[in-house]
Amino acid sequence: MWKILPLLFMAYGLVAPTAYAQMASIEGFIKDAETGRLLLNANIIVRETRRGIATDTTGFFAINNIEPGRYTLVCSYMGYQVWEEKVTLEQGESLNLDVKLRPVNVAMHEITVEPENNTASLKQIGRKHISTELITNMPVFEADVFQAVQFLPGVQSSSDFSSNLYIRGGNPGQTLVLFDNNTIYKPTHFFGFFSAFNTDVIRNVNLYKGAYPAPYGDRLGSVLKIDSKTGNSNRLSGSLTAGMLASRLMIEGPAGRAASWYIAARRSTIGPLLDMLRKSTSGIPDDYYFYDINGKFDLVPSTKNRFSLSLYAGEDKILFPVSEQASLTMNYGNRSARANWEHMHTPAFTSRFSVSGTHYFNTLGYSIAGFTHGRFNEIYELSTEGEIDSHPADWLQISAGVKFGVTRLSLGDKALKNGTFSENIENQLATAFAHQVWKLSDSWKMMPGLRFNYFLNGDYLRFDPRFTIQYAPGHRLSIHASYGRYHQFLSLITNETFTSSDMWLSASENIPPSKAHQFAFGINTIPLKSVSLDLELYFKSMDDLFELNPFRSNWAGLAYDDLLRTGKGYSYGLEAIIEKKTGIITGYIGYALGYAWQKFPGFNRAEINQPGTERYYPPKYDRRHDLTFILNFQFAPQWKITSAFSYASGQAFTKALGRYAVNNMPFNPGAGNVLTVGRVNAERLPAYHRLDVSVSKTGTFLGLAETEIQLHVLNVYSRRNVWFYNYYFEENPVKQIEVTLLPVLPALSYSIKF
Amino acid sequence: MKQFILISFSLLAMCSACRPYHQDDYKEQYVVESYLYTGRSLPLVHITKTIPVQQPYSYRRLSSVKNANVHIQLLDNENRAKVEQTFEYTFQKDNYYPVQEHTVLPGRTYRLLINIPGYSQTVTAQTQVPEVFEILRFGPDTLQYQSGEPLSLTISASHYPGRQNVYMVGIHSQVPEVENLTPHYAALYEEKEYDPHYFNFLQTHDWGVLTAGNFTPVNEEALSIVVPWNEIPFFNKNNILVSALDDNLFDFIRSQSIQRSYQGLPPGEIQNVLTYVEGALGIFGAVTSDTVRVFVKPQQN
Repeated sequence: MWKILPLLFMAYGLVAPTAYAQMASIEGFIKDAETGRLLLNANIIVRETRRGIATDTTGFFAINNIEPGRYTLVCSYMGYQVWEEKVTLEQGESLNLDVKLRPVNVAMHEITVEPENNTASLKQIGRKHISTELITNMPVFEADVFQAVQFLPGVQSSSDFSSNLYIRGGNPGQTLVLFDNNTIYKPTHFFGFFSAFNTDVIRNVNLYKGAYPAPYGDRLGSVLKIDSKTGNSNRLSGSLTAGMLASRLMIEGPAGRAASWYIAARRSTIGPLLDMLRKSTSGIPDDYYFYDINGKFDLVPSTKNRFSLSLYAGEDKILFPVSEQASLTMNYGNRSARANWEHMHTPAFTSRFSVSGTHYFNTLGYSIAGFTHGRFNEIYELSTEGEIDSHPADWLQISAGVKFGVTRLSLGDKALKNGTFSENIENQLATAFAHQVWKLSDSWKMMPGLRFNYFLNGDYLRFDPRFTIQYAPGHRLSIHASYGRYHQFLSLITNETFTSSDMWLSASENIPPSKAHQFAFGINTIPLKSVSLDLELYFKSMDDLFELNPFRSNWAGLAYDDLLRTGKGYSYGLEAIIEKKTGIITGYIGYALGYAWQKFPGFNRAEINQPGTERYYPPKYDRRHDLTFILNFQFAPQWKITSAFSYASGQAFTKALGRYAVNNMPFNPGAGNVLTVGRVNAERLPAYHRLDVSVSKTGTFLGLAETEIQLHVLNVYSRRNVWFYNYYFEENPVKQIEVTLLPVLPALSYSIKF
Repeated sequence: MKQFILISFSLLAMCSACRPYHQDDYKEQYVVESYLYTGRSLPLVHITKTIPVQQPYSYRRLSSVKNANVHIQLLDNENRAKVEQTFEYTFQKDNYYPVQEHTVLPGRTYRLLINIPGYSQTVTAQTQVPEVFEILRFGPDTLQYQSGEPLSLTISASHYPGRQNVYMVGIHSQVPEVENLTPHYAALYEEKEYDPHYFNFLQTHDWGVLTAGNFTPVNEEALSIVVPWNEIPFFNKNNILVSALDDNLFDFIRSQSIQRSYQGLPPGEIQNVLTYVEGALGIFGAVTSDTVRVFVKPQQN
């Protein structure tokens, strides 16, 4: 019976009331007046009733159940002029209205997308929207969504060399990365320096740091949802950016009256720099490149139908000389495609259907004096999804969906062309969800949801209830509480140095999927006009975490399950962010207090030889305090300065306490130096701090095109933050050596938008 | 609003104040070292102590545990709780040596027992000696480096309880001279600025821990493997030593290798080496080996 409950719950969602036939409604799209691009998460409000809604992911909005009468509609979107219009609604009327917003200036970068509009009641717990303006202005090597996300409280990086996201004590594999709703398994380029997403095509970025709702699943921790924009439906246009590490080109335009497209490409341009470094420094790659290509075609034949086709391909390849007769080759990337059809049955009922495919690959090979060794990891995924969104009553919104997918995960190891290990895990996955928003009163809102997952390999059926309740007594305060259960069938192995050797593993017949419970409590306030203050507390427990057993480095002859270790963990913390969104000076101050703990059998024992004495220990990436300041100062119409300062308490490391030696080993006698340690990762590296500054100037190129030049200076005062310590036995006593992170580094980019 | 800020700061202060995970204090521990070799006499036993990591280390200076009572026991094959024979040890010049003669038997289980005056715990460790195997075939016996046929070894199959067999393949130079270094290692030696420790290290080079899965089954009775060129540091005469390892050595070597290289662990995270000595640290291991000799000629220009 208990298995049928979620189905009943979902069925209820589909047949919920559809009354209010005599009331009026307003529906339509909100667009950029210059490019015709649809604006998502733009707000439209009926001033007299104070009822409003944000546009969905297609730029569509619908406000139902409005009493007949005369009203003022107000539409706002940060970076655009406020739009107002008076309308008269008759009984039963369904007003079709397309709103065209004009940008407030002609700055060449993307205009800020800010759905929250300083209204605390519209905020969702755990969710943070990241504006494309923030991404493009961040003082980093290359404008990058992941680097911008890393500055949010509760999000951490493992080092300056990694843009992987460690969110609320979870590892990067616990964050679902969606690009146009397709899962991207390898979201970083260039050893992890920056992400795989070209900022020229990003329209909308939302990060659910935790306790995310039922429409999303398959990850224990969080969701990063990146939507690409639609092409310019008015004219052919584009942009070209030349940077020191990479350059990019984007072209977009209309295709007939009802369609638009874009294509964007980015490629590394680091070759000349590597050539120069190779002359003076050893260990520089012989060859390195990465590229990514994005394409999208949108067709809107009528207000009721919308088709889109989105494509993505990205790849990195590196040939690294280890010594005269040894080299390392790495090749990794993603390909994905998605076709989507959205149909509006009524203003209050839309459906979506999509088919998508993803391919992830990662191969690692090394050759030493004629000996070759290779390791590979691949995922193929093909899926189809159907979703509905319904707004049957003023107090109720319903979304529900189903997904069927086939995946194949391959993992292998070979030496001298002979396979020493190979595993193919083929799977069929079915998921279904129902998510509802119940407006109980003007102040109370409840968001129950349920998701169920079925994983054929192992016959795992898992139910994940999700629940959020919100109390918003006015537009300046809202209080939220959430609970969610989450399951994850895949696990990412990443070693916190460079992400090029990342590897995905899968649950199997004997390895159950990982499970998490998340609790969150948050308060959103608007204490001053244009200033918001958000606070959140969270707790997350995780079980059945599976990963490669570090002591099983030779896979030959082992069964897949024997490669893994299974453990558990938990994390908790507090996050606060004070944000100023308008004016000459904008920015935010973020603070996070976080604790993360994990435990695996056989590791961190109180007594080395005593099974059962394992203790919880913090992962390396655990930081106790993390403080961030982001400041944007538009000091002249064409000039802008952005600075980012972060101060974080040091990461965890293991201090060696003692040493001994076994000098008569049958193999390599004399090489038997051993360290003894106490609690693993019980010490902290020195505090990490860094100031980055970016100055940008907009202008024109011979009056023909808009331009922008950006100078970024990373680590302005060249703080040599410690990455980790190494112990060198070549010295007596053993020497503890600091390995440091990046010194001061400048970067320059120049963009033309035509 | 004020109340809310007060509550938040109180929570923050509470969380900041708690630090439930303190570093352990350094604890001096005894370290034992002894290896049983099939077909050879009982091994010597070495007892030392750990020292704090910041202090200079001297292996000889720490061999100061002279008054221990050391025994090795041969356990009954059927009933491991039953002792078949006990061998006494006596201290002489840094090590403990067996008083009686005994040849280490393959497939049998031995236990090390140490009682140290003033130390309440009895130090014990136990191991099962790997079964005998032999190198059935190898060839060619004279190799042309990187141009001719590589060295292939065929060994007889043997078994270890509870897991696939684990081997080490050692390449021990019999003429370890700088001019005999193969190109890959000559380049590494140069890179390491002609470090004599590294040169000594190469003389008894090992390929790392291999499992039966790394070998190709020839039939039910034999396994074969090709020794890659990169595992041969020296031209001229080399002894190829194939050894089957017991659990204690297997786990000790692989975990020690992880501790040295961080492979598979985040940088800065150190885990203790796996050791199965109760009441102390170290290793009581066992190996069964066979050796052949080959001659490696430099590559023809």
